[in-house]
Amino acid sequence: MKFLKESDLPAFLEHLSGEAAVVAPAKVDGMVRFLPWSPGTEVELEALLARQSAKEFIFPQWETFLKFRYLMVCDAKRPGTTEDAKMELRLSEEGEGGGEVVAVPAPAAHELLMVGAEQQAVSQVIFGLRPCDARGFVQMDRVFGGYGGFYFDPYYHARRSVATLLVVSCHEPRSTCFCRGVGGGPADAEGADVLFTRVPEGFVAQAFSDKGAAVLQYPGFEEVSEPQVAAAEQSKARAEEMVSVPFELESLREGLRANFESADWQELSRRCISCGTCTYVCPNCYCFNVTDEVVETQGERLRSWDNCFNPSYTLEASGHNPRDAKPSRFRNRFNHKFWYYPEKYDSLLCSGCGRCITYCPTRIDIREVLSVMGGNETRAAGQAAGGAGAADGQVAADAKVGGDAADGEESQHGR
Amino acid sequence: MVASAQNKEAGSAAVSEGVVQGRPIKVVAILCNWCSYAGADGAGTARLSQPHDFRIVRVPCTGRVDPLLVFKAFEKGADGVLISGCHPGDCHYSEGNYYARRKFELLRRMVPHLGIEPERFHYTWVSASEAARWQEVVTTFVTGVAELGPREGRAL
Amino acid sequence: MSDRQAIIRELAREALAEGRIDCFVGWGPGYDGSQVIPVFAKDAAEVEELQWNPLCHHNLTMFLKRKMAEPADARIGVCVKGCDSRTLVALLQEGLVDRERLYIVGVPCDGVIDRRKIDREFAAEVVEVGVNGDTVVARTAAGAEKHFDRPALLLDQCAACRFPNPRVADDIAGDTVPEPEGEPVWPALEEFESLSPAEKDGLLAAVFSSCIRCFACIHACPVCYCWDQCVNRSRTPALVGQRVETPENLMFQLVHIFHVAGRCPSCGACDRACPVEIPLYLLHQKMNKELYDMLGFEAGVNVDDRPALQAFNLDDPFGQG
Repeated sequence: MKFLKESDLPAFLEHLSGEAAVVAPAKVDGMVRFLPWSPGTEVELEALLARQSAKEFIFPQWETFLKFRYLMVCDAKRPGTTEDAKMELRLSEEGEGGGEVVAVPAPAAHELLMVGAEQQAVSQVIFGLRPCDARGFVQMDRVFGGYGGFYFDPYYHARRSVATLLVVSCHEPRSTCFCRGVGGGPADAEGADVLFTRVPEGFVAQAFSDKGAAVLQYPGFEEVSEPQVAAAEQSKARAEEMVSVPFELESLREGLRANFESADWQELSRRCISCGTCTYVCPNCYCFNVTDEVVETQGERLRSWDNCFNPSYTLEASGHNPRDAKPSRFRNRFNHKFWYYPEKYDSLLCSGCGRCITYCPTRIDIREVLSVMGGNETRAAGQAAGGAGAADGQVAADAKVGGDAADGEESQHGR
Repeated sequence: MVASAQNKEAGSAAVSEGVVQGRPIKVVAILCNWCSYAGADGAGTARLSQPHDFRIVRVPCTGRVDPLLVFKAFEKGADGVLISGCHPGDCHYSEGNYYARRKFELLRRMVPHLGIEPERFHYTWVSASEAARWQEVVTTFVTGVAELGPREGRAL
Repeated sequence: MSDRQAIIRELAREALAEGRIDCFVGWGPGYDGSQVIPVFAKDAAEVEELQWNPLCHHNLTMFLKRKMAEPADARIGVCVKGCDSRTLVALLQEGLVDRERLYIVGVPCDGVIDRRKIDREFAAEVVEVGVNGDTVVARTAAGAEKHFDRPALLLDQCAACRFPNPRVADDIAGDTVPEPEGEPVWPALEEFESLSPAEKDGLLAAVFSSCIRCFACIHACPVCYCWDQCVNRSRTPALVGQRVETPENLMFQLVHIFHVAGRCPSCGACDRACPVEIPLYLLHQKMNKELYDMLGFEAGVNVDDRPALQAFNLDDPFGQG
């Protein structure tokens, strides 16, 4: 472990930017987002979560796989006839009358598809990730292969292998955080090359990989002191206490399986407007489309993010759409993350960041959905699932919205 | 289609340079089949000289023209877009251009709002018998766009 | 305000109890004391969750076109503020919803709080918002608290609102509020309109490079009723491609905006739904400003009108050039 002074952070990032493109959370127009960092950019670490995860830096929202051009090389018919064009070759010249002349067929018209593959990857250092963001990469790693999965994706791998993930543990989890509920935590190091924990005047830094150890070689790091280590542990413990565990994991997969045909999916998805915000802000949603965009005889093959709420997510070429109905698409997302993926990879496809709750236009709450459909709570009107400070899924404390003080206390439970 | 300098001598009306800053300007002209396209055709038959750097898209009626097509043309690299249809009252389909008139007016007002110079979009009415008017309309428009040069916008 | 809430509950309760409706769509509590969500009440217990307060920003009309689980012949009760009612009027103008199957509870509105204005004042998350008259109190989980003047927190568009009372309703939740008089004004556009074309282009390019094409704006828009068959998703032919960057992103938004021209009252549901806070009002308010300038037209005001671009006058004074 080492210690980095807060005031040395800009110099540290500048040092890293000598060898790699640095990405860090920054506040622009009141919004915190992961953005390319350059000297002078202020890193925003007060706000807990950047609006989107940093997955777009390793798994971009769109990328070009390859470019292609189609060429017709020559015309194989003699103009004006249906006769194959022939080339006449004078093979030899011997005196008057010439030598033998042999007619040979012209080369057949052929089509040439010229393909240029694109696979450049720039070294990146992503600083300021939270444990849930970093964990998202580990979850996607399993899918894109090279890490024990079924399929190896060279495009993902090209970026992932040259990316260094510097995680800063959480000081004040949000009420929508539930990382502990999915096997993570606000100071978890899964996926981190280095884990930074904020302490007075700086950060305690611990490496968890060779890449991380190399980062800690930077001369600006100081020896860490006992009180600093203790302060880091305290900060982590305090943050852990603030994160709720809104549902039981044990019964989740079986509950989802048992509830597959339940009418409750219709109820829970009522206010869903079937956009794609939750999947796009999620650190580990990875579904994608591959499309060819062609103009006349040239084009590009693109990969772009898809989302399972997209009404045409499962639209087939025949026109049939197995998930035509909104509740079935809604159900699919939760099943994918908490049943199908775990069945293949023995891990959840959710890191509990809560962005899907915060940015959903109608505030669909994944914790509520899983509490109900995961089979460990019977749904009753007005019952809440999770909330600020609740340590074990108890009903949220009374909350008041609106009304005049003269009306007296009106307690409303979150749904 | 690059207008060559020698046509400058040949034409009576002013003909645009065509090549500006090393690349030809691209103007898309959306013409209704019954009036404006016929009018343009008439201009061609009468050998009235016209700029060379516009391409015509023929539609049955300006009522069919979605304003989004104009934005799409700009997005894909058009430097100017011109729409021409039958005169209001003379639409081959009776009412198409009455609807179009409102859409195009809204479109005209929105174009500068997107950072596109207003001179890059124009809508008008040219009838089948107005070959000379077509020559004037298209020459004026394309010359104006050529003076502005290729469009350099990044938003659209 | 709270008696409007009581009236809404009363009306919903009666309508359900009397079997006049199958489901009542209103606003209710979200996951914490600062959030409001759309609520679908089908019995007396669920009616007790219905709320009315300045955080009730959703335009509930968005659910009326094919987004609800109910069968097509179900009877639906719905709460609408002034701006919401205009989108409902727009749907009625086109015959897209069956008036006979709707029970409309109109809610006269004093203005909706812009949640973003509160959130910007805190580094940590706001978990509770209470409104006492003209004072708004916002609190974080750690207990940090700030007081605000309610008028200062309202959505920018509320300051220029000309239709705070519902334009169509079966019952009204309480007394109507005074209707502003005079011509519409567009203060939110002033700054943008003062920019040069190059500056506008630069600003739009910067703003639309943030778009993540999530479709929240389109799906939250009540008059974007194609929603699950939106042409923005079409591949053959492709109007908009899969590159998520300008100019495609702006083209995407222009499809949305232009398709609702004449039916959009600038209710702002799209602005509020956007997860990356793109100022969509720069486009739809400008469009509506021009329609007003051209034709004196305001969308969704009278059920018997036709949307401006679906009608014409023989002497429309356009295209003289």
